[in-house]
Amino acid sequence: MTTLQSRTTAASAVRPDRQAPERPAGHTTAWWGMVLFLSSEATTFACLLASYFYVRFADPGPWPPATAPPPELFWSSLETGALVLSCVPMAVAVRAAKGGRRGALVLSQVVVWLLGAAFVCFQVLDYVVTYPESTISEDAFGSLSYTITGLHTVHVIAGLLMVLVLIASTAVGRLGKRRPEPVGIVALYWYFLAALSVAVYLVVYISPYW
Amino acid sequence: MSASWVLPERRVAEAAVGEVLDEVWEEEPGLKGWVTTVNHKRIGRRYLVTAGLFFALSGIQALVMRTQLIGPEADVVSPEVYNQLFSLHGTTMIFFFATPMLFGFGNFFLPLMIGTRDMAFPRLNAFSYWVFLMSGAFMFASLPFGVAPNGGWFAYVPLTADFAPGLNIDFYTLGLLFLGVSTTVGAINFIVTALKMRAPGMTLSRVPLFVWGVVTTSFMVLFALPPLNVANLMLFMDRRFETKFFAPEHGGDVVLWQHLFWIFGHPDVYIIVLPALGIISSVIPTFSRRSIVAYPLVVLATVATGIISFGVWVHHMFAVGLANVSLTFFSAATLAITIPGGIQMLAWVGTMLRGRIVMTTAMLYSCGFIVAFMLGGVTGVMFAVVPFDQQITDSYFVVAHFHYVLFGGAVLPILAGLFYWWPKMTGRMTSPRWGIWSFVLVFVGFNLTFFPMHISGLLGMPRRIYTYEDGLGWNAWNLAATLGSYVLAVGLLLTVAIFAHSLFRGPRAPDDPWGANTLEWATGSPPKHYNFPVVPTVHSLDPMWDGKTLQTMETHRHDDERTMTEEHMALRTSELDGRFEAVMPMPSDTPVPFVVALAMLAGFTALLFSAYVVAYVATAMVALSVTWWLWHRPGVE
Repeated sequence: MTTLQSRTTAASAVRPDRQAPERPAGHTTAWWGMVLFLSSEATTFACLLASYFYVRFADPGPWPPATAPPPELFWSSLETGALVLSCVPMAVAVRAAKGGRRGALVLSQVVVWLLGAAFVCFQVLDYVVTYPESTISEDAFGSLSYTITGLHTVHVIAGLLMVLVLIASTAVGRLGKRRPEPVGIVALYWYFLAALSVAVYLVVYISPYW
Repeated sequence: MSASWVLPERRVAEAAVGEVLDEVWEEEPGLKGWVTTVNHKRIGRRYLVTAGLFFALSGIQALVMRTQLIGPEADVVSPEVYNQLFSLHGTTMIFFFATPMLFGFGNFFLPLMIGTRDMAFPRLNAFSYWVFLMSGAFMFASLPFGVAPNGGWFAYVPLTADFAPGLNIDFYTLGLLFLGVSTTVGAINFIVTALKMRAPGMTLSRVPLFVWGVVTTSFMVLFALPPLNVANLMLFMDRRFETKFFAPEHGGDVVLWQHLFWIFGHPDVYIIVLPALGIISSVIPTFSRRSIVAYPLVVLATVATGIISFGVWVHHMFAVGLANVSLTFFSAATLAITIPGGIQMLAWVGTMLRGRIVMTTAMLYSCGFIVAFMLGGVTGVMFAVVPFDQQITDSYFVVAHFHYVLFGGAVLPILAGLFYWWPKMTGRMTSPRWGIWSFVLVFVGFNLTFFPMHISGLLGMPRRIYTYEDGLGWNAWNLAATLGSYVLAVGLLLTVAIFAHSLFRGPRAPDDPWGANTLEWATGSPPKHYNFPVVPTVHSLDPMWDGKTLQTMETHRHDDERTMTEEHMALRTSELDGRFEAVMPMPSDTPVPFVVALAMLAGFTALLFSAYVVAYVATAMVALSVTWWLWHRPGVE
C-alpha cells in the first residue's frame, strides 16, 4: 500500500501536468533511503539476537543462569501487543494521507502515538516492577536481555518523535493530499519496529522457556 | 580558457541555459557558505583533503615505527607509545583514510559519471562529511595526551576489556561508533543516487564500473558495519557499565568479539578495495583507447566479491581453536573468492592487450597496481590454506600481505585516480615528466618497504613487537624495510609537490584532456555547480565515444525536463532502465547538518568523560536539530 501511494505522489506533487500515464512510476528516493536504512537497522538487531544465542549455547550452564529470574510475560506481552496493534491506525493514517482526509490523518496518528507511548511505559514497568533486583551488569543473560530490549525501546522513542513531527506537519497543513509521502515513509519505519518487537519478544521473553 | 577547449556540444548547451542555471545554483560565499554547502563536489573535495591529512598523520606514525625497527634494540619510542602508534596507524588508515578517501572520489564523481546534478540526499551528504571530520578529530585528540587506542586495530578482548585501563580503548569504541554514522548514511546516499538519478538511457548495463564498485561497497557497508557497531557497543558497555558480554566467568564469551569484528573486518577489505578497483576500471579503458573487455563479467565479479566476502571471516581466526569443519568451509570460501578477483585481473590485462596503451602517470600507477595487487592476492591464497595460516599467523608475513593488498590495492589506485581526475577537479594539468618520478619512487619505496616483511615474517618475526634482539637474522630485512619507507615518503612528498605545483602553475585543462569514455568528462574542468547544463540521453557504456550521447546535450537544450532551470532540481529515473520518472526538487545550503554533527560530537565527548547528564542534553539537542532538519526544507518551501 505504501508502495502504491508513493508511486503516484512525488511525481504528481511536483508537476501534475507532466504526469503521463505511460511513464514508469517507481519508488522515490525517500522510499529507497528508508528501506536501505532499515536493512542496516535489521542487520544490527540480527547481530544482537545472534549474539544472544551464541553466548547462550557457548556456555554449558543453564539459561537463564540459576541466579537470574526467568522473564515475566505480563508486561512484555502487553507492550508487544500494543506495538503490533498500532500498525492498524498507522495503515489508516497512510490511507488518510493519500485521500487527503486531514482529520482522520491527525486522529489515526494520535492513536499510533499513544500506543507507541504505551509500549515505552510497559517496557519501563517491565524493568522496574518485574525485576527490581536484576541489573544489566549481573551476568551475560542480563546484559543481552536489557541491551536488546533497551535498544529497541530507544528506536520506538525515535519513532514517537517522527510521528510527533508528522502530527505537527499535518496540523499546519504541510501534509495531505498534495504531499502524503512522509506518512508512508514513517509507516515503513513503524512497521519495522512492530515486526522487530515480535522478534525481540520471542527471543528475550519466550525462548528462555524452550 | 580558449573556447575550443570546451566541448562543442557543451558550449551550445551552456549558451542556452548556463546563465540561468548559474544564478539558480549559486552558493553562499564566505565562511557561511563553507559551513552550509551541500554541493557534492565541494563535499567530495573535502573528503579527499581530510582523508589525505589522516593519511599523512598515520604515515608519519608508520615512519616513526619503521625508525624504531631500523636495527635491534633501538630506543626511539617507548613500548607504550609504540602500542599506541601501531593501533592508531591501523585504525586511521582503515577507517579514516581508505574508506573516506574512496567515498571522496565517489562523492565527486559518481553524480558526474551518471549524469546528474547532485547526490540524492545533499544534506545527508554534508552531514556525513561533518561526522567523518569530527569523529576523526575525536580519535586523534587522544594521541597528544598519550591515551590513543593501544589494543591493535582489531582490539581483541579480553585484553581491551579487562587489561586496558584508561581512556585509550574508549576513544576507539566511541570514535568508531561515531564514524559508523557517517559511513552508513554515506552508503545509503550512494546507492539511492546510483539507483534513482542516472541520466535517461543509462540502463544498468551502461553503468560505469566505478559506480558499480561504489554501489557494491555501499551495500556491503550496510550489512558489515552493524556487527562492528554492535561489538563496539558491547565493549564500551563492558568497560563502562560492567555488562558481561565478554566476561566468561559470568556467562559471556570472548570469541564473540572476534566473530563480530571479522564479520565486519573481512568484508571491509573489499569495502576498501572495490571502489579502488573501480578507479582502475576507469583508467585502463581510457588509456587503452578501447572499451573494457568482458564488462558483464567484471560487473558480476564485483558483485560476487561483495557477496562471497561475507562468508570468509573465519580465515582470520584459524588459530583460535574452532571446530575443524568450520575451518574447512571458510578455507574453501576463501579460495573461491580469488575467482572473481582473477576475472577482473584478466579483464584489465585483456583490455590493455586489445587496445593501444597511452602511458600517462595514471596508467603507470594502474600497471603498478596490477603487479602489487596480484602479489597481495597470491599471499592471500596462501592464508586460505589452514596449516600454513596457523604457522604464519601474527607474523610479519601477515603485515606484508595486507600492505600489498591495501597499499597495492587501494593507495596505488587512489594515486592513479588522483592523477587521472586531477584536471577535472582543479582545471589544471599535472607534469607528466615528474609523474614518472612520482611513480618510480612510490613503487620502488613500496616494494622495498613491504617485500622484506614477507621474509622477516617467514623467519619468525612477530608483528607488533616494539623491538627485537640481535642475531635473529632479521636485521637486514628490517633495515631494508625502513630505508624503503623513507624512499616511499620521498615519493609521496614529491607527489604532493606535483599536485601543489599544478594547482598554481599547471597548464589549464580542457573539458576532456584524455579523450576519456565516461560522462564526467562532458562537464567543465572544474565542473559548474550544476554539472550538466542539459542532462544528456546516454546511448552506450562509453557515452563520450558513441558519437550520439553528447549530441543530446544540444538537442534537448530547450526541453524543460532536461534543463530544469526554475530551482535546484534533478531528474529521477527508473532503477533498472533509467527511464524518466519525475523532476525532483533538491535542497540547497543549510547549516542543519553541521549543527546535528556538532551535537553528536558533544554527546560522544560527554560519554567519553562519563558526563552522562551532558550526554542526555546532547541527545536532546540531536533530537531537536533532527526535528528542525525534518521540518525545514530549504529550497523546497
